[in-house]
Amino acid sequence: MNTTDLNQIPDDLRVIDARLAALGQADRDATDGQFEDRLTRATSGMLSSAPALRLVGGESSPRRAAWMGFARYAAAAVILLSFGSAIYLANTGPTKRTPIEDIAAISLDDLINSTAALESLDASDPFTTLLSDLDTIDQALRTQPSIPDTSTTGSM
Amino acid sequence: MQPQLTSDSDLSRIIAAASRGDQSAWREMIGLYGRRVFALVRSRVHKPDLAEELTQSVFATVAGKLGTTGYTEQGKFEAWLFRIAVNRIRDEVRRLKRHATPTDPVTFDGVSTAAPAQRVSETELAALRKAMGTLSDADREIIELRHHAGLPFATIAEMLDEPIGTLLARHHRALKKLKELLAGSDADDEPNQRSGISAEHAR
Repeated sequence: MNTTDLNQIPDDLRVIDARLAALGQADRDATDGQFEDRLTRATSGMLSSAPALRLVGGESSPRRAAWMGFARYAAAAVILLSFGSAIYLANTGPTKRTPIEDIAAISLDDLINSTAALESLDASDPFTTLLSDLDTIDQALRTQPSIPDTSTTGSM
Repeated sequence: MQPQLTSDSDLSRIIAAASRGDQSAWREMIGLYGRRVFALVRSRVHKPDLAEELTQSVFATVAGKLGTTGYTEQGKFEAWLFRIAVNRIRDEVRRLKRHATPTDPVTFDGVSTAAPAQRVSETELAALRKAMGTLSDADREIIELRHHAGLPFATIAEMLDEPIGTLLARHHRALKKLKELLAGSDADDEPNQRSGISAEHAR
């Protein structure tokens, strides 16, 4: 180490440059002989306390750390894209209708027929089982004679 | 006498070993750079205890980085190490200024503990230290990086991200200013020397 590269210093400033070099040396010597021991003891723990990466797969390196960082971001991106796609498809699918649209799609005839079918059930045993009730309704709808369309009479 | 590197490959070997947690390599690195960082810090904060504490924090940072991410030496280790030190010093100087610490270098208790350097008296060193206190922070930083940290101009230029020509010009200007200040100080001291107050200086 060349601390006093006098080739760079003009002649008239060499004295002050040499004094500064002496000052630097004095400051380097301004501590006791155990300085290095204390410094080593205080800091060497930081070397061994570190690497989770080293425990997983050998020697840690900047390249490994970079790959691990990339993998984390990639995994986060995949998860976000999956959620985003699911939400997008759920809202824009071709058969998707809102509940209001479902209700509006029921025709007046269907409502009247359903009501008539329900009225035809045996009131004493309408809910023995859900399945049988549904069967009954289905059968009733199939056998119920058509009721004249009253929607044109302005009843609604 | 402080240990010195014989080649760049020595430093690469020490850094690689320290990165693997080799304690003896870390001890070797502290032998190479510990006192240089300490001197750089001490020149600015003056108090030896505080200087040692800051030096420890610098090396703790370096050890933490080496331990977690590893380090591949590409000839920039010194610049990196001393950049950490300079940033730590700047933070501390800002903190000290906020707390209105006395700035007269002669009043600091660390001055008297310094071993007198060869051919330069303690009085002269104290005068030089005082004169350095009048330099701008930027000029003083260059002086300290060169003489306390023992860095070559090329490394200082890389650290401070300045063209080497600009750096040399600033260093030259700072030396001239110090010379003028010391010349004025010597003139002020002459009556004292004649009256025998500073016999050592008179010799």
